[in-house]
Amino acid sequence: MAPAIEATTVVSRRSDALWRDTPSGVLVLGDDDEIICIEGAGRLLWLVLEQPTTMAELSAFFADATNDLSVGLERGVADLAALGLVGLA
Amino acid sequence: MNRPRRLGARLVAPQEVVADLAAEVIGVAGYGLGTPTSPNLPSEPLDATRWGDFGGSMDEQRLWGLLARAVADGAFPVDGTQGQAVTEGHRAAVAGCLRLDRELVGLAEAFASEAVEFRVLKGVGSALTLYDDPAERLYGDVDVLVAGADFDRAAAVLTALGGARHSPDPQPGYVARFGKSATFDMGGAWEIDLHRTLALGPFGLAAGRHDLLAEPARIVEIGGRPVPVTPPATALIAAAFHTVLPADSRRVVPLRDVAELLRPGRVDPVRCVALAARWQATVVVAAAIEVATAVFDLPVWGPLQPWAASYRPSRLERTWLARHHDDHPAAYLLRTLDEVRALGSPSAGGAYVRAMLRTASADPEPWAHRAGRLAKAVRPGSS
Repeated sequence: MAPAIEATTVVSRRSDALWRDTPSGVLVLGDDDEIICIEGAGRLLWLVLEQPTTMAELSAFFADATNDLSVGLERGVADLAALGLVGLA
Repeated sequence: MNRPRRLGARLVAPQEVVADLAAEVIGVAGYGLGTPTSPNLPSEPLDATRWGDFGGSMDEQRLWGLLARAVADGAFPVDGTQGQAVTEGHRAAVAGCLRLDRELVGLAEAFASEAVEFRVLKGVGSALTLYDDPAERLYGDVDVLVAGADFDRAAAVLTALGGARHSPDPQPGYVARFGKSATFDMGGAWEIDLHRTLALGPFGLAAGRHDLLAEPARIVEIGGRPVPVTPPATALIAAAFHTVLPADSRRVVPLRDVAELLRPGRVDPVRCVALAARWQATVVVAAAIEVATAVFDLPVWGPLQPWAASYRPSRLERTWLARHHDDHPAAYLLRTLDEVRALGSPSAGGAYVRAMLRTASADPEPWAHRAGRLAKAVRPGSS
């Protein structure tokens, strides 16, 4: 069961992820050889996670940014975690 | 077909490098260099006929990444269908690169466990160290460089990983001492080119006499693992070889790599010129710099470009370069003699000739092509 996402939760991009940022989204090579495309605000979230970041810091960042993730941050993080692309601690 | 606006270089004609490429293809290849190549880009979407040829060139030249950037910037107008094709073409090419990166990580671990020192040539090394965005630089295989002394051990590692060598060593130790590289098919999914020098012919043999791993490696992280890639001066020399003396079909991406390496602060010019001189590759490097500057209309970014423009090649360099681009059978015979000379000593040259003869007598089939060309060379009037 995935841990609850709280303000103190540290979100870390998977360190062994193979990925590229493209104009149409971030492409990540999944464990099953499938290519996962992270588009829109999710792309920005992925790029922000260059360093492990707490949910509180992410919330502050996206509150400042004009984008649609400010209201769906928790869902975006949960989606990436479900895909195995980020870790939560 | 429109041609690039300015093509001026003395050592190698730029047309030799960018032959048959439409102006818009060269425009894409130079996109983002901040130079006036944009006049080569179209002002409106290409019609269906030109788009078909253009898309084929993007595949063949591995330029979807730079095109995607140009389209996203609004510098290359496309219609809706073309825009979708750019996205799909780029995504497919990036997916291929990511899968190659995954295999490279496994290869790096295998080499590390067998203490085989190596450098990644071109490919992901260029993507991660030279380009504004790594997704702009696409590649279709993995190239690694090892010392000749380690070549057979490295080949054994690749075989243990399931690699099938395209052409067996004509005799034990031949490629390790005199060859350029060996290609391994890894389960039909991808290929590794294992290099011990940078080119075929006299330039490659001359360079291969020296330690091509002399410059300390640059380390990049791929999938969380440190991987050694060619450091800047060596990378410029390698890209120059690939540009001026390609072993297979010409691609414009190595020329773009040369241009990227000319950006201010990228390469220590003194180190680069010294290495090139030691490896008898000076004219190759100078020619590649001249061609990159001419094709992409580069400004003078540093001392290497004026150095290249004023470089006066020796008679030997001019001869080797001219013969490389000469398909006449007689030139082939003379090039073989050049190869003997490039080995630097009578004993090495003698060993090379003996190795060729032993190989031909033991298994003439793989050498039929070479023998046929030599036969043409010694029979005047044959063609």
